[in-house]
Amino acid sequence: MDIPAAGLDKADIETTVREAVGSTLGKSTFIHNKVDGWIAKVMETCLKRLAQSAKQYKYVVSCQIMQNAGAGSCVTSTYSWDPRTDDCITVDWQNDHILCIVSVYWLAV
Amino acid sequence: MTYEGEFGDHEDEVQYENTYITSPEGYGAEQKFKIADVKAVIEDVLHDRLDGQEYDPRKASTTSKEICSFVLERVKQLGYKRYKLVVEVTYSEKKGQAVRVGSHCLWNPKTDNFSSASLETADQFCCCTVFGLYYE
Repeated sequence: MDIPAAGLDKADIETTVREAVGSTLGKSTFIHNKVDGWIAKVMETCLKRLAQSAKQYKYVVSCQIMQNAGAGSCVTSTYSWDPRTDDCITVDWQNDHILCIVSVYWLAV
Repeated sequence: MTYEGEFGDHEDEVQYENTYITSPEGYGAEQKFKIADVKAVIEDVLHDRLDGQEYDPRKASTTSKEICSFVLERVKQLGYKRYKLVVEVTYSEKKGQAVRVGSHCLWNPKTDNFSSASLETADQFCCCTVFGLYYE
């Protein structure tokens, strides 16, 4: 099995994630009983798009939705992988009521 | 709010190639990613690092990076030689806001798994997730 060449296009994935989040959350206010559905929709949209690339990768998509209440927050990640083939991207998005952070990791099979 | 990522561990220059042993049990029963063991490590690190501490916005970034790297080192010591690991930490101040964290993965459910734990104190919470992905 060859190592996947040149990884994935980060700019393309960032665009996909921003479109998924923007279309799901848009100008919404924070509604508790819709949050689970929003998270599932964002992640499914991202994963579907990633799976279409049909490259030999495993994907992990992580999504956090937080009420925008002025609280301090840090999201950090670290990894033990092959830097030649594996990489990640983190996208943060917010409106006046919601903070959304989506991280996408892709790791070669 | 800040976010920072740390790129991979460049201290190890050893590069693993595919061996095509399709399951971790091929290396021994103890080589399969064990959720309970990893969860115990995460809880241990969170308690060590956060018990008795208050949220300090000036140090929050450093604290979350330390938790990340401690968890990664301790999970590596469990000896999963053929697993690629991803550790993600969310560390926040509590101001009555609602938070939801979720993940979806496209992987092999027979070999890959994840473990997570969280800790909440009076003024902060921290949620840590470790994903283990088998490298054939």
